[in-house]
Amino acid sequence: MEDMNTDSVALQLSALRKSFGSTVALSQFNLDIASGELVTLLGPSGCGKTTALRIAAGFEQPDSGVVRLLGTDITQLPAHKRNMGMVFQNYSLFPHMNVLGNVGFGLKVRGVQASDCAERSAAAIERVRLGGMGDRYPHQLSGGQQQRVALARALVIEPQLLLLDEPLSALDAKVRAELRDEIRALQSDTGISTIFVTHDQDEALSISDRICVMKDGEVQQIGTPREIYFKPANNFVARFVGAMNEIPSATVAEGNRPPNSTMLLRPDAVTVCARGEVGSLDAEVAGQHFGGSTTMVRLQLELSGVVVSAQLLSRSINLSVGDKVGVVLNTNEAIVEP
Amino acid sequence: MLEAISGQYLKSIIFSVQLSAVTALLGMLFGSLVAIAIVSLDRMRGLRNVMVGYSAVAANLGGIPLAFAFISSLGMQGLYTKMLSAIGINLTDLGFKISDFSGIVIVYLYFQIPLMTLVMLPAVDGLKITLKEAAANLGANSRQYWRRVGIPLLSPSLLGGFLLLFANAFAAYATAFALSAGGSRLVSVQIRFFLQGNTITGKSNLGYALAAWMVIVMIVAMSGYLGLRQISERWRK
Amino acid sequence: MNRQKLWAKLVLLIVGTFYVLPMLAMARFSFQRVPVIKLGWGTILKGWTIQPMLDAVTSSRFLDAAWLSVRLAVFTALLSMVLLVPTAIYVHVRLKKARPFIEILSILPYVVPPIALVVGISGAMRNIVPSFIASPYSLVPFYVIISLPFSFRSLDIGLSSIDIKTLVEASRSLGAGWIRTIRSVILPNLKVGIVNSSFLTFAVVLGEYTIASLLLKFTLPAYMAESQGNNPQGTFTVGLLLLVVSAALLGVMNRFTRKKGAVVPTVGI
Ligand SMILES: Nc1ncnc2c1ncn2[C@@H]1O[C@H](COP(=O)(O)OP(=O)(O)O)[C@@H](O)[C@H]1O
Ligand SMILES: [Mg+2]
Repeated sequence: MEDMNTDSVALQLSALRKSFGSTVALSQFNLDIASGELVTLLGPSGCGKTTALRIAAGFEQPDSGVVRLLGTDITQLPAHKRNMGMVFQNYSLFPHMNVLGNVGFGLKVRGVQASDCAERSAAAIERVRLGGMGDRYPHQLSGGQQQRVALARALVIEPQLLLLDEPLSALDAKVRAELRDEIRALQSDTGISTIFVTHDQDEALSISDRICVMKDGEVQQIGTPREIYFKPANNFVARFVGAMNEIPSATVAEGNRPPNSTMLLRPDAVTVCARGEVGSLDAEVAGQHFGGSTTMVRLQLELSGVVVSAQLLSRSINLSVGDKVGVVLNTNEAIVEP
Repeated sequence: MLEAISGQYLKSIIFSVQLSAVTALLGMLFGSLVAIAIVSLDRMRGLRNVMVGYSAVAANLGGIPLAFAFISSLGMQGLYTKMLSAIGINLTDLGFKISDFSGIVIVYLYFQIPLMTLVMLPAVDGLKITLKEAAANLGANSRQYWRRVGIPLLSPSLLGGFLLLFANAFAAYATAFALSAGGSRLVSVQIRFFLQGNTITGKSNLGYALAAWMVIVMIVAMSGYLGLRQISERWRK
Repeated sequence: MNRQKLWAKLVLLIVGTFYVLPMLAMARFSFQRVPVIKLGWGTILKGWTIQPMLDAVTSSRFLDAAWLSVRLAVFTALLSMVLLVPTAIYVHVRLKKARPFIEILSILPYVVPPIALVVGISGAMRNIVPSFIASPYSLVPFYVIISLPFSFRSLDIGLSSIDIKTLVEASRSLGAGWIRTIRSVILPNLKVGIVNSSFLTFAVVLGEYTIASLLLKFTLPAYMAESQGNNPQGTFTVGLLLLVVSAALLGVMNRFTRKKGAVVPTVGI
């Protein structure tokens, strides 16, 4: 039974299973990457993201399951024949080659003519904004620059699939955000189908067409960033992506809630008002965490003692610890778990 | 100084250099292969410990006991000499003699190979698996990987190891002395001949000169070694 | 993948055999009183004896030589430690920039072959302090020098693996004086390095022949060279013994040292 829409599916990972000794790294792993799409594998460390990526690249053989590229079964195809570009967390540049040599490597081993190779490499280097650095060696570059070289090296072979394994993890915050946006821009320009691995939910939310949330080798949910954020399929996804308040239903005096359940509510669905306003609960400010444009305020509900967090625009508030306020829980946005 | 590089003395310097070069070359080859083999069989934990442990021991062996071991193996009355002749291979007819060039080469390999293994192990370990994967990912097959990445990356260590082995063999004295019962043509043994303990032979100046030439050869070899080591350490980061 | 592994196993098998065979032959020669000519299936179990070894190790010449070698080894190790431990600590704490110099120091014995070393130093000393060369202990300074790369390297590795500078700063900031810092912070951390260093020095001294023979000192290797003719079997057992002892020393040291490939000390024989 072949897939019906092989045209638009670039890579198909079906029923992958992989274990290392007694550790099950992947079980029943299914994922389709549409062409031109950027899909992120998101999950806590050790959940099998790298394993999935390495199986796609051909560095690991799955115990069972099939890898299809444009409809063709490539499960047994050796890595060097797959034409996928991979970027590693630790850059993995060839230390004895300069930037030009590194970028040109994939073309050389494909037997591309020297002049053509130099031209295409130079263009790729230009595209990752490293023009003029062709003769530098990896140890003369910063982390961000090295990762750009790795990106150029992976793109220059015009891969059918781009695989990025936590490419930004080793970089500092500012470079990380910058390069993240550049990767996204390059990916959109070239239209290369891409798998991006990260354990950082902000990164995943901001860069992806779709996100695949994983846990213990299993897919938890696949969906657009909005779906993942606003309609998490289960508690794990709800808690792992974005911050979340967990409020016992009994705290909220509303008849239609099952009595012993827990309500999950994003901090941005909690607002602060003057005490005694209609529909508000009495609370006291227990602490706050200034985060630039928004501030995370911790509020202790007076009746139950439960603490909830509210994400508020910093400009609009002027609170200090101990202030008596009212809290409105926007329960329409809540997710109730039994 | 000049007399020391003329006639028979020049010959003995050349003999020493040739011997050192050959043992260094063979030692480099086999020692590196062993290092690569150890790393590629890394799953077998105990194997690595045994090989590294024994190499550390063997690299430090030498001198008289080692010479004894080989005399009892491949000397005129050696166990394996006889075993080989029992199956029709006569080492003497093949021109092999334990105190001669071919013999000394084999004996020296006993400490040269493990030394090279120890020198190469960190370098081979440093050939990160991800580099191999990066190469494969970019379309390189195994041969292309070794040609364009593996061997170039190892080359400073290989060359540096070669020079270290060369120096090691060049300085060696006791082993060759014991193998040949004092009659060897090696420079180090010749120097000894000129400087018999306290007695100052008429030619002790020649001994000094030969020693000075030895030091010069060594300085050249060792500065090369140091330079190459620095390159490979930079790459390993 | 599989083919490559097979190849690796083959290489290790061949080299391993090369390592083992000479030792076996030497052991046979030492302990079996049957000439090689007469060896065959019929005689393979005959004539095994430890008599030559007993003769050798009970002879007074052997005992003299062994005693001298052991004393030399102990004194060399002690002197090396006294000189090198403070130096190594000082370099690590205060003189990080001296590392290139240490690199050079650590290969000095390669650059100056023992034979050249002894030619140089004894030539100079003979004129200045004639009695220096006469004493058997005149070997100690030579041995300190030739074991320098190995002894210093081990200490250096030991110190590198513990970020000594931060430890010292932490200890000092907690109010410990220098003496106390060295005694209760550095030395406990340096134990492995010191043990390794001493073992290596031991192994070097026990096997050294070149300098001893040039200065006409009767150490173990000199004994072996001398008695090779009249009691070859006994001498070979001593050789074997020496190999086993050095191997044991280095083996024990190897167990101490966990860092991969860190021990690359080698004797310029
Ligand atoms: N080569 C391996 N040998 C043994 N266990 C492995 C190996 N690779 C991965 N694992 C295990 O498989 C699980 C998933 O690993 P990985 O895919 O690297 O996770 P992630 O990339 O999500 O952090 C982990 O428990 C890890 O320890
Ligand atoms: Mg990972």
